[in-house]
Amino acid sequence: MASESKFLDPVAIQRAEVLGLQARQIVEGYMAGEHKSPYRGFAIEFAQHREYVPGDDTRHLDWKVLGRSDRYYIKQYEQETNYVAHLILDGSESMKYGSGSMTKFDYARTIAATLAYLILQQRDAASLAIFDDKVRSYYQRTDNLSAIHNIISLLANFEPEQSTSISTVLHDLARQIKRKGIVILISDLFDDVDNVLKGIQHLRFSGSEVIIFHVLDPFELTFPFKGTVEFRGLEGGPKLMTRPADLRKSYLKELNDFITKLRTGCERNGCNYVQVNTATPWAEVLSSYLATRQHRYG
Amino acid sequence: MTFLNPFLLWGMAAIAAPIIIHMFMNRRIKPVVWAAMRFLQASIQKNQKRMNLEDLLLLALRCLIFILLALALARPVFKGPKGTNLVRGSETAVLLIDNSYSMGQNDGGATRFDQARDAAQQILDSLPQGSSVALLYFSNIVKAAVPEPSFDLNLVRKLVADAQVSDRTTNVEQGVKQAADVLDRHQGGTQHIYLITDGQEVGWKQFDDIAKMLRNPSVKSSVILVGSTEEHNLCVSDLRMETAIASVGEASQFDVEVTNFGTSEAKDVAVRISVDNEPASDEGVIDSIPVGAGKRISLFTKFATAGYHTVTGSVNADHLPIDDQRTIALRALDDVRVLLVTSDDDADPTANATFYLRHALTPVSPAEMDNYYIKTKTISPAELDTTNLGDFEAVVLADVADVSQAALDGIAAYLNRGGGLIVFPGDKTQAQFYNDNLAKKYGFLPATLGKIRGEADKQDKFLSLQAKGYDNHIVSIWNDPNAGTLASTHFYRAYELKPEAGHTDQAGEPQVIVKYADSTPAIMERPWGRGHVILFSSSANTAWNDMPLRPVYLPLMERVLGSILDQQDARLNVPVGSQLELVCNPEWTGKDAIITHVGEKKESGSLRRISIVNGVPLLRFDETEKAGPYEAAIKTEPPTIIKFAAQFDPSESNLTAEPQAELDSLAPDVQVVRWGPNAHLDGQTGKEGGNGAEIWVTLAMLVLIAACGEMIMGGIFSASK
Repeated sequence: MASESKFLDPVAIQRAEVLGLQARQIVEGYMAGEHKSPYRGFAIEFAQHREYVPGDDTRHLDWKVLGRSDRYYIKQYEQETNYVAHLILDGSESMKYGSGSMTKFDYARTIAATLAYLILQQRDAASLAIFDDKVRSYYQRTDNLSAIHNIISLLANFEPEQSTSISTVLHDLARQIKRKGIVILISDLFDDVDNVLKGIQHLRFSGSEVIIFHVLDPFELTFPFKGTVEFRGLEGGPKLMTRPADLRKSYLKELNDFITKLRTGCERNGCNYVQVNTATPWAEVLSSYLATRQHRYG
Repeated sequence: MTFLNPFLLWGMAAIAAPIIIHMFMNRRIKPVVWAAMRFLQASIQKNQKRMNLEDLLLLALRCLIFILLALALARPVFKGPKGTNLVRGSETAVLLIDNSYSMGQNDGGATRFDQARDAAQQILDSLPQGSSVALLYFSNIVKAAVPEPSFDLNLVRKLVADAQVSDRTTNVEQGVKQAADVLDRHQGGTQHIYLITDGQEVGWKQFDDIAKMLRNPSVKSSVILVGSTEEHNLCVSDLRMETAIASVGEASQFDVEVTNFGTSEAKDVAVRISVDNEPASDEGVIDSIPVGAGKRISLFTKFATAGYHTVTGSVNADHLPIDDQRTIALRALDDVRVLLVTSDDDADPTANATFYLRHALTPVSPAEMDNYYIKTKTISPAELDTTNLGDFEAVVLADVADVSQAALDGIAAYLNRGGGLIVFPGDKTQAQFYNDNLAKKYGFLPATLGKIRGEADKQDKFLSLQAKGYDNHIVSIWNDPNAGTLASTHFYRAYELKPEAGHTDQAGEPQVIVKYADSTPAIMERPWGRGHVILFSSSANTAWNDMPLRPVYLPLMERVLGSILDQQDARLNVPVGSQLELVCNPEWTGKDAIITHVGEKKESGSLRRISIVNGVPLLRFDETEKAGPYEAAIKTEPPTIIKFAAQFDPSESNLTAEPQAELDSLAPDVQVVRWGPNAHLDGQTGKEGGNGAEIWVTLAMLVLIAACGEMIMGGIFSASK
């Protein structure tokens, strides 16, 4: 009842509509001028021929063309649903931070909604998991575009409340994912870097392609505070009073060490690490996703 | 250690400022809800100790700046033991140099003032860096060459080098007081008065007051004595004309007084007199003048022309040249006009109140009267209204009943311009009118006319004049028995003279010229305005006395008239530094006069304009700093020359030094240093227990260094790490 009443909440509905509209505008804006289906595969409907190159599967050779013209052509078909994209969104309290009007979580869920819309529109399947120290909300795999409303509604009405434990969640998800696909992790990754990397490694081991959108606020990246500041942790912990100007270099070094270690670990595991500054446009995030999609599925 | 500004130590409380600011800044904390705590925490763990240490260091440095600043402003002085050669702190000093004329005494070469200049230069050379100096010259006035302490010591050196000795007397008290006033206004540095003087006793008359000022604990005082004892010093201490009236072609007698201020008896002192800086016209020798005594000698001269002349009495030059000669200015007259006013119209001319007086003033035969230098004119009181009194040197009211209001106003104007009035009572005199108008309303008369004593026809009862003790210049010649006696005169009838204090600004103090034997005033005088009034208590003829029949009558009347002329000439002789104020011919009004000290170049003269002041044409001149003769050339056609003279005060010639015991009693609060030609003041005035080492400059430097350190450290510490 609680979840039903939540969906009937006009504020929640409005949030979902705004988020959905936002996602749609982003995708349509990005895809304007593109062909309907730029992704080619080996499905049922024939699409075109292309010349054989060594390494192509000989099963797809068009023997009729070979017989008539003595040339090697490969048959290509339009693909309907090629893969499953698992959207994993960090909904921990640390994602509530935002130096501007938008928090990291706002930004992250916009990315998630946008990607979900794009994936479903392109006839791929998508699932969504929102987690903190465990998976709090989950939308099972679907390739139905109409399900996008439910996904968006889920995203729009989630409020971060708990501290994070990314590695635990990643291990759980790695065990649960049956079909190989693309795992899209959207998080600030503020957890023990080694454990995070182990979780990612586990995901990769399960055969999934992993894209990591590392969401960071510009203030987290620059630490521009002045005067004496008392920092209060979003996920608890002691209050820290200090003069940030005196510590800026040291803080940025710690942060960069963390990012470098994360990036290196991702590269080692064959993951695509994308650092996302919440001040940058969402379109750039889509480019990163599509590049990975292209690389994986052609 | 002591502090010159101890109250500024309260400034140390300012160290609370950085602490309060530090606490205040800690209170102004911005709370920020933050996600990336792990990186911040790691960063703080690595840097917190260092940051705390930096905070403490900066706080300590800031507190130190305030402490040092407060200390520097409080100006601590370290006093070392006597003789310790501490580095002296800067001084705020006053160089107080005696420039009285005794400083012109020389030892055959350098004068005392030359020595004072050398001593001053040495003091200036020995002053610590950063010292400031005011330069005052004192005599009986204080002249500030550098009125407030200046850091430009080269300027002070130049002014000292160019300084000149004056012709004034010494007054140490006045100089020290002004020096103390200067230091009162300037509290910076070690305060120091350097008094450079020849230490003449006459300058230290107010020793206790001077000592009190010099012993001021917050001011260091050094007395630098210059000069040595002078064995021979003769001074022309007075010069006066003894002849009643200086007339052209007649021998005039002058008395020259020479005082021996040396330490041994002066013998065979040659004294000369000269007119208008010409060669000596007469010379005499005073056989002996004891130490400290003055002796007079009478010398004679003649004036060839009428008008203004200077007469100089001199002795041979000694080591103090200024007092070896004295000059006075006077007028030689070839025409003295006297207006006689009387109510008498007796048929018997001998009974007329002015009969004897007229003959006494012109004691020559009727044929020679026109050529005689004194000329009289007799008028009635009624004619007084229409007579120009300015044409006469003196006006005599002899047995005049009363005069009109216009006449009274005319007499007031006449006296104000320097005229002379002589009043004789008689039978017709209305005492009430005289008392109400001439004595009280106008204040002309030195006394009111009281009751009449004696009867004219009862000649067995009479009053006599005092027989001796004639102090007044008019009658002083009768102190000499050879000149006759005043006491033989019989006064049968006379008014009782009751001295009357002046009720107007013009009226001066009444003085008794001579008394009766019973000590009641017989003749009195009073200055009034620029003029002079002489009042007799009895008649001018034989109606009330037998004075006209006595031999003393003629010289007495001549001396009375001469006294009035003397008073007029007295304005030609002013003390050094005083203002000359000469009543001029009304026709000269608006004309310029160039005034020069005789002996100086004409181009260096001063220009003055004759102008009307309170209805009187006056020539005023106040630059009489140098003793001796002056000339005022009035631009008339042909030019008119008026001569006048400035007189030095002979008391300054007494070079007797203040007793050493007195000066020694100033120690230890005051340093007393005897400066000689080869002496050096370094180490005498500059190295002394009372003179502490000031360290405010060092502290100020430390403040600067600490402030720079704070800025640099603040910059380094606040740099992002």
